[in-house]
Amino acid sequence: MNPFSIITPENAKPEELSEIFVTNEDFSILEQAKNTFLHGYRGSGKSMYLQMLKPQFYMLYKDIDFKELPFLAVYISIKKTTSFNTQEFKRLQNSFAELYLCEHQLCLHTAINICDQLKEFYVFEDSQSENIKDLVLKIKSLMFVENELFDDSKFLNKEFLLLFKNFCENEWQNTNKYIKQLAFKQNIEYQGNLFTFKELIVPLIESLQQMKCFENKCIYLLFDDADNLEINYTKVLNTWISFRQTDTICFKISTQTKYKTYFTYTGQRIEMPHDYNEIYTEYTASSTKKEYIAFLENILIKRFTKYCINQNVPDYFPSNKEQDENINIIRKYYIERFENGEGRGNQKNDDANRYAIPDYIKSLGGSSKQTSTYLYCGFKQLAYISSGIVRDFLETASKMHHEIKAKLSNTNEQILFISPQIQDKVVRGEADNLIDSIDKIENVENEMKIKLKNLIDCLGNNFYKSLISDDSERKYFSFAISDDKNIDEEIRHIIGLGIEHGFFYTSKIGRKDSSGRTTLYILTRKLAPYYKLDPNGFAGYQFLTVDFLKKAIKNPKVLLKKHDDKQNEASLFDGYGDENYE
Amino acid sequence: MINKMKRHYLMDMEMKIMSNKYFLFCLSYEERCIAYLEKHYDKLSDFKFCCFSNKSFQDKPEFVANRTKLENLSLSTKEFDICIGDPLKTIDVFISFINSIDSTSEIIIDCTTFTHEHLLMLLKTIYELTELTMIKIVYTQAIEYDNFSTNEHHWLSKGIKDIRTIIGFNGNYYPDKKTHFVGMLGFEDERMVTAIEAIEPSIISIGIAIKQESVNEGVAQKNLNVAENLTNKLDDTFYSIDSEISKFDFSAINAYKTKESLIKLDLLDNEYNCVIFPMNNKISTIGLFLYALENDNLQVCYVEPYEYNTVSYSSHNYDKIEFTLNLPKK
Repeated sequence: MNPFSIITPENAKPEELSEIFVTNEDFSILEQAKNTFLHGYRGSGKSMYLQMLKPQFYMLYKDIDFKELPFLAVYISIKKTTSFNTQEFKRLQNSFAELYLCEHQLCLHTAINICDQLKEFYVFEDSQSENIKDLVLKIKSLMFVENELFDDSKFLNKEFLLLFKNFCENEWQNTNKYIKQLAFKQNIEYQGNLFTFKELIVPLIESLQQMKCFENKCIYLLFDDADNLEINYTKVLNTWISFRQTDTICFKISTQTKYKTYFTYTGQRIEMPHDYNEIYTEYTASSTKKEYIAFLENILIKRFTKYCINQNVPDYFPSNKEQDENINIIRKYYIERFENGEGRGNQKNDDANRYAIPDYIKSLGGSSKQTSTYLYCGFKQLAYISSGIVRDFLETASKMHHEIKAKLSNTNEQILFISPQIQDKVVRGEADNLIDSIDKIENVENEMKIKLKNLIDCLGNNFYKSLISDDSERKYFSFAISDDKNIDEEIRHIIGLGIEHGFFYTSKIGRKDSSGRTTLYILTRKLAPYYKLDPNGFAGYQFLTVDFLKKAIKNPKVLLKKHDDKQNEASLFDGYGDENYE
Repeated sequence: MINKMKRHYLMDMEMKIMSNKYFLFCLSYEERCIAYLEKHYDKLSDFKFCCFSNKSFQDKPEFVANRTKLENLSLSTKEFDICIGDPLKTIDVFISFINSIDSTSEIIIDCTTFTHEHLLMLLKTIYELTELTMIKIVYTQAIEYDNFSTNEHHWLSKGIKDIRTIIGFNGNYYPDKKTHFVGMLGFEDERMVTAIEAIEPSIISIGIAIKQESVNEGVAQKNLNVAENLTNKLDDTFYSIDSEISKFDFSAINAYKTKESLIKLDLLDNEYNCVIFPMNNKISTIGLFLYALENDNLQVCYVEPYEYNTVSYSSHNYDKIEFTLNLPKK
């Protein structure tokens, strides 16, 4: 069994997830009774957070019993092939019927999940019967169509939630039947029932909360991958959020940053912080890389415990001793220089931290042309290369594990470490694959893909030249645009493409002229092996002009003036910012 | 002599106008799209030729070359535009066509170069809107796919534009159930992995066409290799699932046998929503069609690629499969 396998939280049992779950600040925010959007790239842990809020998981994680649960979470997965996204339904586009049916379907989908997931905790007591009768009367008053399942007397028992679920499923299937007919016939009259959030979900939840077994707990509705909803369903969901009933119902909505709109179906926009909070799950632009490394190490410790791997994390991903020794020699050199009053930094280790690895990489280049023998290995270095995305680390580690397993004669043999050579080989392969993936970007003109590649190449080349220079600042992984007001549509589009496909991440820094803040674009450290860069620790950022970027997208060999010996017209120097932004 | 020829021509035209026999085919970038017609058009003199022209490829040189070949056959052909990226528009074309013909017409479909999605939509339209109980199917086999490629990985398409349920086959999705993914694999393991990632299933079943039920040994071996790559990838890196990845086989030369294979899978499990992706050849897709007609809960889905290998998708030697597709009673 591969200890780095990606686990689909939706399919995992409570014990399985509890064994590997590591909490952090994002999860603490999710636990609060507020509407929250949880944004993150695929594999950043969103689904895991949502699953951990479910009663069975949360009780195990917190070691509490049902009575002590502060809330009741219901998980609602939105997949690409749900009934929300059928082609037949598109026949109703731009008609009044569409919105009504969207809300009706979303209500039923939600109600079915509420009933299904809470039924195991439901305990019927006679005192609850008035609440149930009340709910049944309310729903019955909305129904146009008789439903044989909806015989109110049947609901007054311990099977209430199961029966209500059956009723909702019946309604759901009736709606589906109607939608199916749209494939081959048009202008068919809809003759079923139509429910809204306030008419079905709110009474259902309020009735449940008044029951002794649920003790007035707030209900969290967890919508996972809500960017799979088509736009009108999204507007319906936003409308529900805009009702702001967070004392009884809270929404936790995960997206892969492609949520279609923040408008409601009445044309209002839901706003932060009045209507919702936002969390971004990656550490990609975090100024606390140490937090990410610690978080990642905790995740791996839990996985090693689960799979009985008796090894600590740094020893499982060891660095190369010979390389470390050579780098240490350079470190000692810089420490001695500082002690002799010749250092550039303020502290004894500053120059050693800044220049030891760059000098080592530089020493492998030149006439010997050995830059490819720098080994990208060691847990911390791999953590930096994963650029703050846990899944990226796990996928790479999984490939390393597979590589070793394939060579073992005894496949049951436990792997206790991954050699530096294997680590380096896989990480380099991943960098190559990432560059190759530019070509596979869908729905984009070839010319744009070439320009994106040129831009990334230009940045990589210039960052490498800085690395092997004698400048006081040598490590760069990011840039900001000094004259961002001059950005044209093309540059914006190309950078946007880079962000969308994981080549750049963004953060904010102060402008060069101190007139407010501007966007910082951070190159993914996954590309460090491709451009022979040092992915470890802090790195600075380069201010670039729009003019330079326009040249870069056409010619990846464009150099910053400080790197261009020939001082040709194509280069432009625009200075650099302070180190330690990150 | 000339009068005799004129008389024959007029009689021929009269037969055609009166005829309720239709030959349906899809004009595309593959040479196979008119291979059957090239060899057998003279036996179809009393058929009306209906060409469904795939608009998505109309600017490709290979498509233009095929159109020229078709024109050289001097067949009186009625042309309809269909489009991969617009299923609603395409099914309206099919509906309009089927509604314009006699519901007891005789139909032959050359299914070779319809996309899986379009073929299923066409068959379903005929099933829903006519009284027909049988359709004749013809299919030109490929002897090799991506014939220019020298490496193991054949590329037939690149990128993923969309994943969607096919019109007429949206099944019944139950919100509280987990998902069983069933893939009828061809050569495109990456396309299937993308579909699996999008669906996040609890159970995965991967099917291939075994040697005895494949078009030839070479194609069967490649199919097997692709399946092994895929299952290794899934086993090792992806997903915790309720059970191991199960494998099954189906036929790429006999649609009825494919239907039987799918029946054996017992997909009507009440615990799971079943989603099936046909990615092998059109004969196996027709087998799926037969199975789906009797299993209304099944969702059949399509992965629309971004780009097709229009230059060297396949090669053929005019070998064909012909059979009668019996439609079940409604």
